[in-house]
Amino acid sequence: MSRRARPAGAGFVGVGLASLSCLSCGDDSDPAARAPLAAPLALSEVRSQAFSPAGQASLVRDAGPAQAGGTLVQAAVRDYVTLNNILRVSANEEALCRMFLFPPLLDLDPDTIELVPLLAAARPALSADRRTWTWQLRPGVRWHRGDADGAVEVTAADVEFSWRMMAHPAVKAEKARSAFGPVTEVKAVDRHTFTVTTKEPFFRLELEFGFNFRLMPAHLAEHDPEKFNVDPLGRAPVGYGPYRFKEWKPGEHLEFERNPDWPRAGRLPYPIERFRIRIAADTALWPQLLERGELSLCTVNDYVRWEELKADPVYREAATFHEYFLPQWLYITWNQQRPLFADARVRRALTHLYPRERVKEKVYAGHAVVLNAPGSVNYAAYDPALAPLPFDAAAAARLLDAAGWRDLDGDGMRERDGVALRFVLRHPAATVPAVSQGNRWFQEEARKVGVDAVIEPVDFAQLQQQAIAHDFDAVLMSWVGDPRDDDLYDRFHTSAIAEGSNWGGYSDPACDQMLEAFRGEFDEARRLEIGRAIYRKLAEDLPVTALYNPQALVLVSTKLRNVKAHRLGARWYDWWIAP
Amino acid sequence: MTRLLLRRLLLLLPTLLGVTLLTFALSRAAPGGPLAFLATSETGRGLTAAELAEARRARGFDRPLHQQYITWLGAAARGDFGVSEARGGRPVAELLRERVGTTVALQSIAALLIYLLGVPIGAWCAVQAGTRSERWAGALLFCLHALPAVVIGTFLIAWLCVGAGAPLPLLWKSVPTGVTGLARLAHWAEHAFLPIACLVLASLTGVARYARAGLVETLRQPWIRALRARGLPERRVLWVHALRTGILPLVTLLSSLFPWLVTGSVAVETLFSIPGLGSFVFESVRDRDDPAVMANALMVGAVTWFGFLVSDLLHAWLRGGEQAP
Repeated sequence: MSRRARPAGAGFVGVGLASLSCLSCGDDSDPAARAPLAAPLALSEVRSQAFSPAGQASLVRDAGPAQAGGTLVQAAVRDYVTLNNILRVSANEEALCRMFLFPPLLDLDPDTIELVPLLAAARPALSADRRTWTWQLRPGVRWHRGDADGAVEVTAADVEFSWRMMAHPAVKAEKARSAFGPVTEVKAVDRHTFTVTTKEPFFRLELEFGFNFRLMPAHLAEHDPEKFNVDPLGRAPVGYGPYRFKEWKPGEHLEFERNPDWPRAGRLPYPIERFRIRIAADTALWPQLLERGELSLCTVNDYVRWEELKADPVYREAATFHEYFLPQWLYITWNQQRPLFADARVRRALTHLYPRERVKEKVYAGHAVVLNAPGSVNYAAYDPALAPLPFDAAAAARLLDAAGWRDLDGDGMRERDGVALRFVLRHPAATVPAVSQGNRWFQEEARKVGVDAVIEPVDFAQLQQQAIAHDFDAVLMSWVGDPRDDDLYDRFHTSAIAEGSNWGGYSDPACDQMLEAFRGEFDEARRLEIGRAIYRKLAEDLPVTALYNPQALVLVSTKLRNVKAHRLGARWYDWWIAP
Repeated sequence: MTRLLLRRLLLLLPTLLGVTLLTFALSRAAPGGPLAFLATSETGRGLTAAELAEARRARGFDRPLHQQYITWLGAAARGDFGVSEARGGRPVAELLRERVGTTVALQSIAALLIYLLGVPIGAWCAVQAGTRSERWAGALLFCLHALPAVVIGTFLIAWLCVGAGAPLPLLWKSVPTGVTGLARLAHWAEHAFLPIACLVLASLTGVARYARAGLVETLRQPWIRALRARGLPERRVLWVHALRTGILPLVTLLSSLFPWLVTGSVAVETLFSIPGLGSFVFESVRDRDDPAVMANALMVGAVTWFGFLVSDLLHAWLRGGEQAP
């Protein structure tokens, strides 16, 4: 599964929806995007959306016997760009494609988080050398539109064609390609069988390929790479999943209807007949739209308003309230290629100075957890017993003294070797109150102990370029992980400094060894142990300061029934609408 | 009149050149550079630095700036505004066509209503000048003028869309296929009411104040007193004679009303989720979608020029053939 950095805050909104709805999918990005919806809107990477039963407060109405029919409506902040399954980019597009149009080979069981076959007939078989995986497609799955001769089945030829398109450099599918770096070949063996070969053994291949491989119909799509980039199928998609495309009014809505070919019985019944995604840029209006019956579910981004809605009799009648944790968090990366942050004592001191508990209580109204390491509280490897460093200005001062940063000239600010203790903390210009307010408080606290922290909002695209180029002192962003194994290799291994997401330039041989061992370990229990050791190591070295894992807050119309909370949240594939 | 028209037409070219050149320079000077969003993992394609450089090279962004501008200009002259990478490589011209109808319809009606309401309000204020009721009306208009369209829209939503007995739709919805005749008109009017009300309320003050100022001055003129002395009814003095002279400032105002409506629609269309040109301007700037930004700037420039043209022609007509400078 892919994970990614995002502008701090941008994502929390939508994800919630998605997860609620789909739970295993991940979405992402824009708040809007994540249309809550439906079914597994899984938004992209977020499959992580792990749902924490302990953290959720949901009021579930009487379900009764399921009834088919109805229309579920969710909102998205911005319009979709393309529903070409290979070219799609945003988390919302990913959720839509993955959940409704092009279900992946494997799904995550929302309760056990185990991989279960979806488009695949079974989980793949691994060769003795652990490099070749053999997959079987479920027979009888048909594309929503066939050819002149009638219905067309999804076959290994579609897989091979899609891989060819994804791998072709002229196809604008960089994002799709990024998940399959270790893959060297995808080859059809027979009508329903294909193999995937990797350069070296890679335990995540099953998860990555099973969840992220993207199919397009070989019988309809353009085969010329340049033409594929502008294939009209991107605006009128033909998939094979539980819902099929019906209408797209640019800037207004997208509508889908149930695919009668998709088996209604079983784990994914999909009683809801239609679903619509309404483009509504102003997220503040979403609760009102829900109260008026124009939305079926929505996220709420304002934590204070959430509490007001919970106390409002009108909303208590119109909606149920759901609160849960998703695998996304805020963190600060310290650039250890700069002498100031190469010293772990400085990083530790600044972590002591960031008033995380205050932000949690005053900005998040308690709907967040202060983290001890860069991971979600839902991860098995995350150790809640490991207490995060508390706010402690005195401890910070002692650490800075020990590192040689002292106020030698009596101006109230610290210096060493004639250099003032000053740095710039950048964050995305469009962000959430937790970031802007938290940074202001941090700046004030830092100044009190003689540290000059300059806060600088920067356009996200520019900030990401600076991060990749290691051109920063400190940067605050958010991260979306996946709900199973969070592979930290790309963020903390030495090799990821030059090409990867190790923007801070953290390099530790012991940590490298553990990260490599984690990737090569196929035994889940042993991998979990390694994962915990990695988190302990990161909590000690603090190459980044993990800030918060906020809760997603989701309103669901009381017209929706059977709104269940799973370990991964609520998926709407088994919800139904009261007549 | 013909000479005026020709003169204005000749001014069109340098005006648009200036607008596009300035926009081009600003967009290139902005931090991040062209296509920077493609490098983001959020809404871009997550390109690496090398891939981004290649993408820029493939689109000619590595060439000297003057060459880039001339190339864009040549293509734009042929109606080709490039493609929007932020929107899946779709042609910008196609995106503009998709959205122009809604915005033109909303703005035309808004402009008409602004004058139909603003002029009588201004005339009333002129007649009542100095009275307590006129001062109250002036204060109210001032408050309206001080409020941005988006704030007015938020108030209207809270007042007309929220709670029991508030049936107006919160969001825009185009007329569904198959709905015709009066039902079509009713659907459109129901969804257009709030956005148009927003645009009108936000712009009304300017027209009303200009009308008041022009008429107050005119009503003090000796020839108006002469008309009254000849026994002409006050209504005729005001609406026929005084208005013809006093309306000239309003005609001038028309030249700035058009571009103002375009920019005002940015907020209104975003607030009500209307897929029009205003929201397209907002989205293209937000996404650093340079081809779309350039096309939008060109469009706003052309609309502004058109406003000036209409204003000048009306001036000339009202002055009985006398040309505007």
